[in-house]
Amino acid sequence: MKRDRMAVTPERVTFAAVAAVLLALAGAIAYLGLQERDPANVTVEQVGEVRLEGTQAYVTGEVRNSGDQTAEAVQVVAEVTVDGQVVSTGEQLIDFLSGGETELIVFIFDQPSLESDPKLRVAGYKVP
Amino acid sequence: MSPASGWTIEIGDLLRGAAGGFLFGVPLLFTLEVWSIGSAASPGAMALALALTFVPVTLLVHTAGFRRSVEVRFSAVLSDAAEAVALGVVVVSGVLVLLGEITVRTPLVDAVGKIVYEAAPFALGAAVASHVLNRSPDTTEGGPRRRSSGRLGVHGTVADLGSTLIGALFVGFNIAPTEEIQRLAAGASPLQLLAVMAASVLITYIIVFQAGFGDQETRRQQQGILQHPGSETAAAYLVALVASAAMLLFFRTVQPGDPWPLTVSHVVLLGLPAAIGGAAGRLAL
Repeated sequence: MKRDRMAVTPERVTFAAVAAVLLALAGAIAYLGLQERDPANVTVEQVGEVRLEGTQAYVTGEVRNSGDQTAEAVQVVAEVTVDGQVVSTGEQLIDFLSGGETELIVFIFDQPSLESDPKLRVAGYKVP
Repeated sequence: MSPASGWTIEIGDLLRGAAGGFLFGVPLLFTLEVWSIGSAASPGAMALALALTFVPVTLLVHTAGFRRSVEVRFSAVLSDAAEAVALGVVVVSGVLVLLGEITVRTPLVDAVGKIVYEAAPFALGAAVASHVLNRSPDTTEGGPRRRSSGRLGVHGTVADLGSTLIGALFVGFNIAPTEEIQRLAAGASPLQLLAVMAASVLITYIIVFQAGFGDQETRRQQQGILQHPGSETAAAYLVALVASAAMLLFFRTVQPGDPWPLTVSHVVLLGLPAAIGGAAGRLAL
């Protein structure tokens, strides 16, 4: 009798697996809820050297959201300046950037316009 | 009931739930907006969404469910509802990893949000699995085998492949012109595409030959050309891939002259929902 009560039945195994999955999910949500969520903090910095291909120069940037909240429609701008004058610009839009997420982006400039390294900056984002 | 048959029934029930979830949830698994809503959700919103998912799933399990045996006890209904949701969580997690929407670099909040919002429609599909497509008449009621005489030989093969094509077009047309396939194709690795192909074949085999939908036993016994479970599944997948290529060309998502690796990525990725639609078509038509 006692052995029957302790028997490993398919229903019990399934129930244990279900309980484990749902508890893990609920635990992950609770953990995220208990974390203090800082606003999105989006930065961009150039990665590596400028890559030259033919008449074009490729500039790679890494966009990072070091905050916790998601940033939507992140606008990143690259500007090449000569003697304080902006001579060339580029723009990228990232749909979503979750807290802690990074994305690589590449700007392409004409080589002649790239007399100095471009300045990358985040122009803005939308709070979802 | 022997332990072996107990396990067979339990695994069969879970496969039926997963198959129903795929049939209902596959369009939303390929919807950018659902990924975005999940990514942007706060933990409070996720908890609420998960809790709210249980309400319709419990009601649907009470009236339909995914098991062969019908339980009316409230505790059994609640247990089945929890199983449907857990099944959704596990399977959509796998599919999101397969599609590259969840990777090791994905932040936890992003991954959990996507899983919660994608699991909801999948769980609804699992909860109505036994009513989405009729359960096997030859195993549940002992009734007449309605298609056995009309689906023999070449005629049966043509009918099966035609049904697959219609089902693939039915589901694929909703997804082919959208941005999702292009976005997924851009980031897909060759290994990932091979995994998607394997998953497509496995899922459609489960839907048609393991989940207990339609006249499954009759299908297994068919003797026509390409009507062995293995060959039928492979031929149907090929039809789904051809249909995917045609739909992508129709919407000019891919065009003649595009690099072939990119075209292959598009076709294989659209082939997953198209193959699931094709499997539904073979059961429904």
